[in-house]
Amino acid sequence: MIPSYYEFQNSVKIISGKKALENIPFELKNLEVKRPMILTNDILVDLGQVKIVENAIKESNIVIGSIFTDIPPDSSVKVVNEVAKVYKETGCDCLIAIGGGSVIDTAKGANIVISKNTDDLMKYMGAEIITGKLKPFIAIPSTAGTGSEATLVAVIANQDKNIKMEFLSYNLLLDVAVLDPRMTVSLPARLTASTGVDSLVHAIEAYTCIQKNPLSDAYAFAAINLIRDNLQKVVDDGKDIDGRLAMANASLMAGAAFSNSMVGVVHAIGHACGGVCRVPHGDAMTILLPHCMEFNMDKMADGYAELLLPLAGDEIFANTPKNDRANKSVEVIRNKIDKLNKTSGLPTRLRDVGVKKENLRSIANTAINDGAILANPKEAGFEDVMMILDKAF
Amino acid sequence: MVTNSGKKRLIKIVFWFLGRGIQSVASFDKTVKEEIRIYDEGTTVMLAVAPFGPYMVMQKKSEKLIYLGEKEVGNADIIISFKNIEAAILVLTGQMGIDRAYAEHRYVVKGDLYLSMPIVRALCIVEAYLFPKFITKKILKEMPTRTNNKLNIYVATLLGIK
Repeated sequence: MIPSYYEFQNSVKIISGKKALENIPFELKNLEVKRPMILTNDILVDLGQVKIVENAIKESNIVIGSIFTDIPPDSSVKVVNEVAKVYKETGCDCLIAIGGGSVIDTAKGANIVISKNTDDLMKYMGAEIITGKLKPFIAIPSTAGTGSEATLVAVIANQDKNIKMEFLSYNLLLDVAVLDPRMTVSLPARLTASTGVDSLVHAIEAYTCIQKNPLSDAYAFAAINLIRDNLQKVVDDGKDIDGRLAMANASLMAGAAFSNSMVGVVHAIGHACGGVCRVPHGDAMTILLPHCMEFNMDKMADGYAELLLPLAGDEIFANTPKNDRANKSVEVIRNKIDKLNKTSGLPTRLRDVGVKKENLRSIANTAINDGAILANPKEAGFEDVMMILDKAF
Repeated sequence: MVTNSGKKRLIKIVFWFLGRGIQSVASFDKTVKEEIRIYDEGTTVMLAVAPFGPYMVMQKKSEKLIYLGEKEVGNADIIISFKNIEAAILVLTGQMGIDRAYAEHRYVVKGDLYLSMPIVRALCIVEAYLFPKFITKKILKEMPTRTNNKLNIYVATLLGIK
């Protein structure tokens, strides 16, 4: 069914494939810049991923203006301001982010500070208030999960005020995303599994939230197809280059889907688990997904039934009676998570990731103020969230 | 056909009701009363229609959310601004819920999105008190629990009882 109204934007140029990184000099020339600042973290420097990018750029007239490696797992306003300062001091003219969600979000935040020439990022907090074109920005994801390379959102922590600042703007969409399997091939199985499930949740929530539209549906559907065929494969064999490339594409497509359709109750509660108990995002997604699908079932059975096709493939879809397909989707997901648990140690209960029973009320109170809850197909109040948390505990 | 100035007049009237309605539920509905505790004293919230208004301003003052009127303030902590008058009409005349409006990008939010959520829920609860059932059934995902009766809130809204 076509929505009576929707908006969609995915203006990111996508370069996907083996040796894709070698195209970066051309893309920088295309963007009329030649002195990038590279943002990354020490782990990726140690693993040699940053060196791969440097080598890919070497044979060109591109001069790396500076490399900033001190980016923590949670993006913060302090780091964003430091990045912006170094960018100006070293005369850079564009940004290249190499990393996962925190590095890419830090780069998005720094791009606001640099492009708006401000020292107060808080002025730009909110939804759709950042106007105008920002500095050229290329991202090279090193995980296949957050999809941040294709989303309009950045989350930056403000430690002084103890808040997570959210920035939503189509102008935060970057110019180029480079998906090269060399960047994810050394990701450990456990992290591969949890980031992969994060992508799956992005796609499932994008397909079932109230902002869904034909374009976000197409991205979500395609992403789930790739995840079905490749996630377990790359957990079992991290060196599977084709599988890695497929998962990088799935992550990006799921990102583009939820960027235009939002995420729902799984993310609202997952963000709160991260904020209150520091539960890693992918772990929270894995634990909460089946419980939240069961909660949404009475409002979203048709959507979940349709998703059985990409989740389980055509044979199982065709052999499952129409009325059983929605529940079958949940069953298929539980089975996939159980297998990932056995092969990579992915957790399946909140108690296994450091959440205490006495934390649940605080998590629920935080979750109901998360913007994602607005886009969920079913109203989720405090008691509803408590019920989901109890089951997931 | 209603002209733009007619629509603006209508929005001003709805803003007046909503402002006084939110003020009432923030004092007399337990759920909303609890919700607004999240705001620091002096927090200012403004609803606006881009580009030139109308506006509706509220402020947290001693555990209450006070309706300050229709004068634009430049430094509101949270601004929920409809992108155009047609978007505002859809929401304010009960043709579209606030969550659907968010999903359809009908308004922008300036400020902490986390802090905008209690005001969004308060709007839903005000609608549950002040709008007839045939409208609320259409625009709310679920009827929120009312902890006071409709008549009390109507009277408090009309008389401006805080």
